[in-house]
Amino acid sequence: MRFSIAVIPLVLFAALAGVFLLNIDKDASVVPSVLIDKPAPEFSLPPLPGRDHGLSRADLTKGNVSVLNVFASWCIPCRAEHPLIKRLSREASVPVYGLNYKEKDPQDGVKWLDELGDPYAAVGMDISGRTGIDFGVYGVPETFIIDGNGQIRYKHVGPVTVEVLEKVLMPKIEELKG
Amino acid sequence: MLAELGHFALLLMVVTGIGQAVLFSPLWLRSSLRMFSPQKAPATPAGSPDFPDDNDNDGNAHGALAPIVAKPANLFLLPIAILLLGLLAEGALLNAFIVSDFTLPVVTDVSHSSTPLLYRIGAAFTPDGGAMLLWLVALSLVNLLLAFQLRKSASLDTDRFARNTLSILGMLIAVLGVVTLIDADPFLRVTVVPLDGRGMNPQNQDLLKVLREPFLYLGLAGLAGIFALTLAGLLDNRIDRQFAETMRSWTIASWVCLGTAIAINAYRSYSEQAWGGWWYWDTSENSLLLPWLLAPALLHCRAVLEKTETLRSWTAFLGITTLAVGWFGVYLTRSDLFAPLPETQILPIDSNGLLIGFCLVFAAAYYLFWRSVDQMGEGRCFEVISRESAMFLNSVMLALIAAVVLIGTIYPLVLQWITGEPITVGAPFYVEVLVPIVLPLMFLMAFAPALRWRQDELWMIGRRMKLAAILSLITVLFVSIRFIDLSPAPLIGIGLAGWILTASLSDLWARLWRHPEHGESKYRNLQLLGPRYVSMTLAHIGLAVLIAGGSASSIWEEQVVVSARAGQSIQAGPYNLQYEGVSLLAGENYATRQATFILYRHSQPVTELFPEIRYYPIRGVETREADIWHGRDGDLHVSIGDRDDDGGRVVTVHYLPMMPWVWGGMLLMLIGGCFSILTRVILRLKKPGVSTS
Repeated sequence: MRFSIAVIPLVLFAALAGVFLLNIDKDASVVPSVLIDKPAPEFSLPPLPGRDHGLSRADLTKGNVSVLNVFASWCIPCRAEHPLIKRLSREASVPVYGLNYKEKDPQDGVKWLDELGDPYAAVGMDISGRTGIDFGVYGVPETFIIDGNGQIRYKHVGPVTVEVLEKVLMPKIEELKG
Repeated sequence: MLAELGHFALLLMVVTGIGQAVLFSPLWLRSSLRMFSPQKAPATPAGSPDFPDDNDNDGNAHGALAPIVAKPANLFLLPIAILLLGLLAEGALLNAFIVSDFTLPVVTDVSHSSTPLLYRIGAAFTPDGGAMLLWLVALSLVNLLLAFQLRKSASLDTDRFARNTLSILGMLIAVLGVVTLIDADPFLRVTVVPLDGRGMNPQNQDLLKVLREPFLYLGLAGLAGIFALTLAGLLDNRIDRQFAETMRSWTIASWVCLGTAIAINAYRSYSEQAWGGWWYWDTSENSLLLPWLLAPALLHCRAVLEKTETLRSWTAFLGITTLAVGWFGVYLTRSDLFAPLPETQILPIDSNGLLIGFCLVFAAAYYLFWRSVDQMGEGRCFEVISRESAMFLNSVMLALIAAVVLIGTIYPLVLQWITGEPITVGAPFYVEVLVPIVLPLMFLMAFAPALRWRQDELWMIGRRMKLAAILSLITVLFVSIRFIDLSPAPLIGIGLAGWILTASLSDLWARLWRHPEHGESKYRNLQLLGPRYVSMTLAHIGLAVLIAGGSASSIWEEQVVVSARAGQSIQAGPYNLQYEGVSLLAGENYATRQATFILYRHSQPVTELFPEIRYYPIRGVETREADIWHGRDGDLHVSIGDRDDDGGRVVTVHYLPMMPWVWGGMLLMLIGGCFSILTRVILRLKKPGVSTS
């Protein structure tokens, strides 16, 4: 086979394609949020009216995987995803914490949970939205998976659907537990 | 139900694409098998005894299929079917967006019931699946047009070249269709239906932005047409004059479409940001720029090929590479390699298929190029001083610029994979590296139209370019004396723009005032110019005007940032802006704080300007809309910011002299391209088979 200069494009192309193909699965490491693999921010939130325990960072660093779900009574998608959060808390056997985000009236959150059922191990009330900002919340609902050391390992923005629950969240939780 | 129909149409499209690939060219399969076989049989030139013509052939498969494909009327059957299927699928998707069918996650991701109808339609093109589908539809349109064109030129009617081309296009349609179905199927449904969508990205809620996508994908589809023609030419060793002529309109058309998309991009970033800039060298811009740079490179060396049958391999190489960079650009912008999109999709979608398809298609293409380039004889050599060499040099330089842009785009990525350090490559890199290439390119650009084919004399050019040289030097001197403290780079830019402008105009002048021969009509000179010359001159002048405007506005830009109170007046250039205050208004699906300014020029009221800050509650995102007055000596660009502590409103005013030249230059280039295509189409329709000279 006679060498010709025309092989150069092929070689260059192969090199470039090789680099990209080799790195194809690294796409996953590209973080969907700046907070991924960062420690969860420091916070301490008061409980809902009439309850004892609020939520603080200490709850997230007890050594086991946990889930933090940001919800609000005014948020319609939260209502839609709520049955799935209940299922998550039932099936995943990890504590699911709630962050009640920017309620107008503190009673709203309580009423909401009374009506729909309360899957949360503890709920913190973030009236000012300050903690939400620290977590990078920009649309409710959002769901964070946090490992035992308090590192945020995954973040889902928007309502949890059956697909997301079964294909993304549960496997992720299992992976972190195992 | 319609979505399922669309899904089925998309599936059928893949099947018909494969059908077209196989049916149109059983011979192609055979000859490519031969090409890839270990015996390394040389590619057989067209019409050699190995391949007698179509109608009777030795291959069994071909013998059976011959009746289907040989008849010219049937040539249209599959392309028409593919286009109809594509339109059906696109229609189904558009319908899902129009009626806000939130059972489709693509709709939920980028649309909302409160999004206005026009933008719901526009939103259909933004998710991966919608964009791929649009590309497929554009591709099937190109497929049909190409079939029409190849049928029209009588000699190509039934031969292998035409059918190979269509076969390759069919294959591309099939590959992209499969990628769409596997990676980004827009027609999948979810079981739990959200109550409403997540809303369109407010940045996309703009009429121009909606128009951009069809132009972008039409441009890319045109490049695919060129790619198919090139590969067919390589397979048949037919990279010749006729090939170059067939390719011409496609090159110009894709260039115009991509150029339109780029111009829209530039104007959008200009009117969205408070910085008054219009080019940011970000990935999506660069990935558009790459094919847009290579298309004129191809156009020029194609012209040489058409005239003198030289530069065959270079033309073929560019014909393949232009689509390669276009496709790669789509991959870069669609993948989450660069800006991880904050909008998480409901179904995890990745674009690996796009990359794998890219690798398969182009590995084969470059391999074919390598194997067949040896058989490709070059025509007669050309002299160093000739139009051929100027045009060759031009295409090499354009390719170099494209290479720099490509490196600047992927270097950060590769570095990040190796070292893990994220870096960004911005304007300083591009300016530093590109200026030494662009300046000589522009210097040489002025020569080419004045040069003769084959061979020219240096002193003759000197005589022809004398006037242009003197005039542009005068411009530079005038500018540098008037504005003594100028940095050299923009000055050279203005000088070179003047140089191209004067050279083009003086060449036009010389042609128009050619002494008429005896008995010729007065309008003969005008006729002799021809549409090609006119469109080329328009495009060259357009570039000169663009560069002059860009350089001038970067030098004389004035920026004023003030904290304004109602009634305050702001001075910028010859303009005076009076701030009237901000009012809260409701838009269709947003709330807006709209400021009112009265614009005075030399204390005469000119117009009112209304920059805005819009708030889109669905996504909770604010966007800024600057307001711009395109005056005759420059743009006045006003945008407002937040309220500051002492109750004033932050107002940013840019006065950009000669900025309309930038937009005018872009427009002139596009008009030049459109003119060329239109005249050619009209001529062809009038007198079939006649080419414009």
